[in-house]
Amino acid sequence: MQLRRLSLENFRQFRNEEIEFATDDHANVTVVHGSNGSGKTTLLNAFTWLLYEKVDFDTRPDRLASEGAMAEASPGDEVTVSVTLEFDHDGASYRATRSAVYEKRSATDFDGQLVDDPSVVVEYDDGSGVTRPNNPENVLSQIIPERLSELFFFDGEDIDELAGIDNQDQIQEAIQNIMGLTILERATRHLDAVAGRFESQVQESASEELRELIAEKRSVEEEIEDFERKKQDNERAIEKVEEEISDIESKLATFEDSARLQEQRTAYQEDRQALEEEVESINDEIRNEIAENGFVPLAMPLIRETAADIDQLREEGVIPSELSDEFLNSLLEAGQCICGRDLEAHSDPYQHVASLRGQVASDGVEQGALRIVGHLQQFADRRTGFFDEVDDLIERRQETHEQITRLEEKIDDISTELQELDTPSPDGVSISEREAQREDKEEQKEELVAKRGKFEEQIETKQAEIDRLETEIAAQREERAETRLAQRRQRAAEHVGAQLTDSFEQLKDKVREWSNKEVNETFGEIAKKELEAEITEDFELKIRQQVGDAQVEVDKSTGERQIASLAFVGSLVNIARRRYEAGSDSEYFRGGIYPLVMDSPFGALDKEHRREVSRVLPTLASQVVVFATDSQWEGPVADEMTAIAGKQYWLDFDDGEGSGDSPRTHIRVEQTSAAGD
Amino acid sequence: MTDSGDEISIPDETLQRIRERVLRAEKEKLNLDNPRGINNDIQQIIEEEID
Repeated sequence: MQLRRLSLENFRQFRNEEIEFATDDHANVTVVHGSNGSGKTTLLNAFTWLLYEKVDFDTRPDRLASEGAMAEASPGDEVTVSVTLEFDHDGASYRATRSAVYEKRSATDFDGQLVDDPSVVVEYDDGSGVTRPNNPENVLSQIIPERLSELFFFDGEDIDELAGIDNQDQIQEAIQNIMGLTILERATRHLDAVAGRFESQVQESASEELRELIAEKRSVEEEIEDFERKKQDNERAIEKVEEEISDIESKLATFEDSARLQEQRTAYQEDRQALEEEVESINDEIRNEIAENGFVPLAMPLIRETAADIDQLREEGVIPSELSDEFLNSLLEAGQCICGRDLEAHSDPYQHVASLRGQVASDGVEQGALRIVGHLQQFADRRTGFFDEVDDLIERRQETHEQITRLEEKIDDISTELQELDTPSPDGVSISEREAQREDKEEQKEELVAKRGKFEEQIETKQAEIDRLETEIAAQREERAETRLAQRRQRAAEHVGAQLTDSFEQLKDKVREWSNKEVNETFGEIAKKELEAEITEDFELKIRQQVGDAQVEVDKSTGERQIASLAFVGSLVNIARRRYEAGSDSEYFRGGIYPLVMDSPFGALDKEHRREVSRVLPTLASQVVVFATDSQWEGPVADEMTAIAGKQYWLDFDDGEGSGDSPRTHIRVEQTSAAGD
Repeated sequence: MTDSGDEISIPDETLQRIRERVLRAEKEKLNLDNPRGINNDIQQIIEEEID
């Protein structure tokens, strides 16, 4: 989407105004200067009203029609409000207009009454003449989906929320949408539902036996779903209790009397965590050792027996044996070689086999037998090595467990000490009470964790039942054509669903890698050197700081959050653009061109960051529209952006108080007054 | 839904066509808040491809 022109008619304080956007590759920034209250946010709302019929005004949210136009109208007159956006998209020129008609009901009515619901008309010309689609809302949502609109049309004062801890879902959704993951996720879910429909058809037409098996399988599936739900509730409860514990511990760390003990406890807890991880890694080593050499002790009796037998045969002279010549004779008599060839008397094959008689390297056979016995005896050494290795690992694990127990005792001692501190903390709750609360929460957590284990066990058991039932279902040979057909269709839905699940998982990993790289690079260009932004495994946007050898997550100041969010949005727009320009032939999503329309994006930033953001953002998006006050613009932002500001406008606001007129904003191409703060 | 067994074989080309058609149908409804009727569309695609 490349913006061309925005026209406003009686939209709030704009009576009849328009903005033409900068489209030059080297001067892709459009700047709209305006003081607070002059209409910058109204312009942002004009975009969202046109595209999605959504507005977010701080003052008089219900008033859309221009107060001036309503004042000039007589009772019974109708006033039309409209916003028109002209833009190019995918090789076609578009013109979209949303309009609403308001009727003035009385001489003092300045809001008007909506006559009909606002409607939108879209026209486009792809070179073959003008087309007016019947589904204009859908056409617009295909071009710039509402779910993504907050990324492309944003208020700088709110954008830092993207990097907030609670906005993981929003970030994940944005990434998934931009990169085509959503389509895969949805397709998988819908195919699953459709496979279920075909399974019902199978059930309806199948034999009694198969019908019962499917019914049983479905009932077990429902039980699994029920356990999964319970498990998820349980996970949430665990997270909540963990947060509560963490809150209490943070408080204890701030009170003078308990700070030292709490710090000590945190250190012990970290040590315990490290030791628990070590136990896990020892368990892995034990598993690997058993997988590699575990068969040796089990096979040892048989190996010993075989070695002894061969050795005995050798000692008894059975190896080497004289059977070889007898064997060759028997072949010659039977007239057939072991390879299947006929051994006709005096033929070449016959002569060849006959010539082998007496030539068997008896000595070689005996040596071979000795070698085999030797090899078999080496297993005995491997067996000893295996037991030694496992014994060492078990001993190490035992020692680690003992260290953990000692740490737990120390942690308990700290808790006892804290529970003896009666000093009231500044917020009125005594330290001992606080610690008792923490202990309660710990107990709750333990119970919840135990419950989780039970749910997991139950799910596993039920899954095994499903596997068994599926094997039985697959073994049923249905004769009826109707059933066979439904089975084939069910199988097709499941098969394609499984393929798409694989594609989803693979793409998800790649997408995280790409977006992580891109966000980090962009953030790195703007933020302080020691800070790093990261999209985590869970698609959470985190900012970390290098402290010594460790990376610590930093509390995000508003400025840092805003930078991280800007870096994030800019990076996504850039990834989508590159994907589009590369002519990606992905069947999921081929990227897209998105403009960035930003109201006061530099509000919370210091001067240096304003400079960096102003420098970097226009390089990421194909088009940038910035609404700014003079104080936001002047200095570093103006230094960086003036040269690439293809178009600049000034909002000339007249509150009408002096003249008795209604408030009105003109959009000027030259500055007539200062745009203030 | 889970696997209904491997003894039923469906040509790869058919599966590929179903995959393409399902993704196309999803793409058309991707940006709608409520992709109504998508399950019916997918069911129809599979019925057409496997008859």
